[in-house]
Amino acid sequence: MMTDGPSQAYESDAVSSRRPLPGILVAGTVIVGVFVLLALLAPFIAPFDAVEQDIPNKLAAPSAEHWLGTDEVGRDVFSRLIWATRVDLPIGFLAALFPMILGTFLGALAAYFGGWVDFVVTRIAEVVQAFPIYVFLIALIFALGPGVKSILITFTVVSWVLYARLIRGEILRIRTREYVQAAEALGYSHARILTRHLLPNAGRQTLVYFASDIVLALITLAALSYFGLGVQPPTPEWGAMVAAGQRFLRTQWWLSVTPGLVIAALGTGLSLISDGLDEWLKDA
Amino acid sequence: MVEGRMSKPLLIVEDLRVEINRHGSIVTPVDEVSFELQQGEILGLVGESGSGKTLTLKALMGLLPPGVVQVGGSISSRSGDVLQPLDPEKARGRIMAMIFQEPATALNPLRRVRDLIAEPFIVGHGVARNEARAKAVALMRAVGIPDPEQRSRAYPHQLSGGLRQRVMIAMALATESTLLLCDEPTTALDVTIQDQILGLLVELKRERDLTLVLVTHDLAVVSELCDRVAVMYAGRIVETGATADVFANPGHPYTAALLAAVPRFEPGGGDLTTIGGSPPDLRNVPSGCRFRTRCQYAFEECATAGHRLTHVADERQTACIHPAWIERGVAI
Amino acid sequence: MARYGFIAKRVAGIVPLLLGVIFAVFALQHVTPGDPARLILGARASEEAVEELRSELRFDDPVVTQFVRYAGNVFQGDLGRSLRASKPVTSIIADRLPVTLWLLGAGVVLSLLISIPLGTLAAMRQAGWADHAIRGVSLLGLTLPPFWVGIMLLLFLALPTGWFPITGFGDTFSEHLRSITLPALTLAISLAPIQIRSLRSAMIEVVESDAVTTARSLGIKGWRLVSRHVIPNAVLPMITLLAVEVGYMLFGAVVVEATFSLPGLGSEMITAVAGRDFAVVQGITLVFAVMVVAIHLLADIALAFIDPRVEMA
Ligand SMILES: Nc1ncnc2c1ncn2[C@@H]1O[C@H](COP(=O)(O)OP(=O)(O)O)[C@@H](O)[C@H]1O
Ligand SMILES: [Mg+2]
Repeated sequence: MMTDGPSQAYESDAVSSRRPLPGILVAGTVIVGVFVLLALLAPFIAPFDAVEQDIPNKLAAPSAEHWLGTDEVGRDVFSRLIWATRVDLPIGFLAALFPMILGTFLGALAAYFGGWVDFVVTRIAEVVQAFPIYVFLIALIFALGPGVKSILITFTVVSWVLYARLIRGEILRIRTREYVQAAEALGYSHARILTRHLLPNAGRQTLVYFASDIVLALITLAALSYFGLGVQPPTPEWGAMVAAGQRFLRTQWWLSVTPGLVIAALGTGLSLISDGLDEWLKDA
Repeated sequence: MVEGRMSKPLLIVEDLRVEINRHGSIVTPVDEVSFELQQGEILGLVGESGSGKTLTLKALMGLLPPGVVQVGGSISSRSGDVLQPLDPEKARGRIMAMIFQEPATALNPLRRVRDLIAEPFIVGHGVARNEARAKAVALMRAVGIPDPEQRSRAYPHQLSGGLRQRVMIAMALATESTLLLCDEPTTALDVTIQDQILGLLVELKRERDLTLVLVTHDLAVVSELCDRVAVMYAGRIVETGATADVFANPGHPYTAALLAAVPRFEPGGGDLTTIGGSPPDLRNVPSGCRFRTRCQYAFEECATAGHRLTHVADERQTACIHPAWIERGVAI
Repeated sequence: MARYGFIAKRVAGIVPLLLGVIFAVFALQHVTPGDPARLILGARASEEAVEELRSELRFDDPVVTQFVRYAGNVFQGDLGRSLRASKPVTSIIADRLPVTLWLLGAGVVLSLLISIPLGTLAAMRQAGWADHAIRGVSLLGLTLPPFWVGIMLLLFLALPTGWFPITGFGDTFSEHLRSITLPALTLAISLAPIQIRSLRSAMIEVVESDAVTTARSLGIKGWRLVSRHVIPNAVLPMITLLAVEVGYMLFGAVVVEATFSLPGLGSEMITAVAGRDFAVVQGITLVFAVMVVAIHLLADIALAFIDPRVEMA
């Protein structure tokens, strides 16, 4: 009898010819790139200062001078939207980056060394996961006091778990593959194997997840600022701008509408990158 | 076993071609496959893993997986005295049904066995639910499931592999189809169960006047049960004919190699992969005869040979162009 | 019955988890930088008042003693007193909980009404224009901040039509229903995209599964195939997803309540955070945490009842 082994045609690890970048990945990169440029070039692009008030000219309608009008203390809304890129983008990025670093580090450690290291990390991860993360977010920020530092600490404490699980699972899966075993047999050091072989592979999913996690961090940051628990006035921040404008919804609706659109635009760019990376790196 | 030879084709498959497009490169796992199926016969379909047997059957059923498409060929079936193009959408569950290789995953895990078997009665024949359930229990008895009343209330995961495969067979019978495509129905089962299931299929075939296609790895099974055999290699049929003739006098070096690899037909004895070399990567098949890179008889012309099956005798076809092998095929 | 035994076992299994939750909530006051009593009373309170509160709340006892006392109180239904409202926290929660439950219930139902048809359609028309459109919309939906969606609904539905109250919860059943519509819709819009995406991939996986191929090979097709073979198998991961989503859902409820000034637990929590009403924040966090644990438990039990493969031993 023949044995029905895995079929060769679609299990091949052979490197296929360079695959074209998916259109959505390009589109997402362009969108996010524009925001990065806005953040970097804000002083040159924004027509007005972010915090300087002009009370006599408050709540002005959009005009040639103030494209999106002015807010309740006369600041140029268009300029504040641009300046806020310097706040939301880096905080959102860091709020996803720190947990990624912590989670990847702990997950890799747990998977690679196993034993009690794995046991401890896995148990802590289980406990953190069982908790209603976002509610604890509010409570923790309450305990630590509002502000950017609390937000970053809180995000790191609550959302490293997924990265750790991801990387741990991936490493456990990959390390049974021949090339890693071969590398071990050739006497390469642990660190070298970890960086050369395991992380590049396990890193794919992490990257995909990281991109979508920034979206979540951005929205959560905006929500916390909307509550008044995040970025404190007068620093321009999109969520806080929505909140400030909500009082004038009947008359100056654009005050609340435009910051939301900006968040959605940046979020869409990041989501496109996440989906595009997924498509691009999948069984590459 | 020659009882099926009445030359009344029930199904004619011509030049069936199936393609898979993966990242822009196209492979052809089933390539210009042609065969006829006679009313009332058992046709054996053999070949190494990956040679395209399953995809051939799935193409007939119109059940190719996503991304795998039939790009050519015609399938016609006979109803009464006329041959007409077969519409798999309509034929499924009416004139033909398929039995799959993996009884563990083929059954919906959330439904009770009796409802699984009753469903074709309800859907295909408008039988009321209670009556369909009664018929399901009767069928369970017919396919040799002990304690059918009690087991009819079980869920698939509560049954052994052999019983699950019997349930699968009962489901196929419930469609009242006369053509059963069996894709390695016993490969996933214990050796002791394999004979029972095959015995059951043959018995049902006799009782119900069925026509079977039997995909198997086991040449002993083919020689024992199948009236005719078709040998597949790398997506193509390389030889067909009456089982006894083909086995006695293979008309293709690949068939000969398959037979030589098996110590004279002991069930479960031997492994076809002991032929030197391995089947070609479908993305990179040799020109001409696909077997030539493993064939000890290959000569220059093989690289440009077409792969049409040529009649070498009545009901005997081979794709080999080597005169010696055509001779052997004729020499019956 | 195996089922009751199974449930009892699962319930018993969450006791350590609940203790962990209570500990985390208790620990909140200890991660706070500075003197918790000072924090509660604010910078302007006199030194004597702070001292008095310290001894009243016995912050000077060993941490373990404090925790045992706190856990004991919680189990007796005593969550402390709100300093601002000078009422027991439990009575505040009892007032506010129904609104939040309304919101969550209506929000989940609405989100399923959106996601099940769209997710199914996208999976059935895989790679067709409907699939692309639905995927595009759900990708966009993922990026919309829920509070902003709420404001848009106010702007484009509530203000022009006047059908929906802008704030509050009303007094009668029909007023509740009208007040809850837009908040629930907002919550649904923030939940549906993830549901659509995972339902779509679950459906595609199921559609391509051996079991469905078998059903099709028997001539089963159309709605019957979808309703009997595809949906039931795709619902299993949906239940798990809903349970996993619940943490995010509660955060969404907090946001939505604040946006619409609904008098629920979420808006109360925000008020309490702003007013530094420690006991209330702790109490509401605890209630939310228990809700999450309970939903996970319910999902486990539901799965065990729906999926015959789950061992009930
Ligand atoms: N769903 C699929 N996607 C991609 N390739 C497939 C798929 N199914 C089968 N193949 C490929 O088609 C070829 C023929 O497969 P199959 O018909 O299953 O072979 P057999 O049944 O003879 O073992 C194999 O090379 C296999 O890898
Ligand atoms: Mg097969």
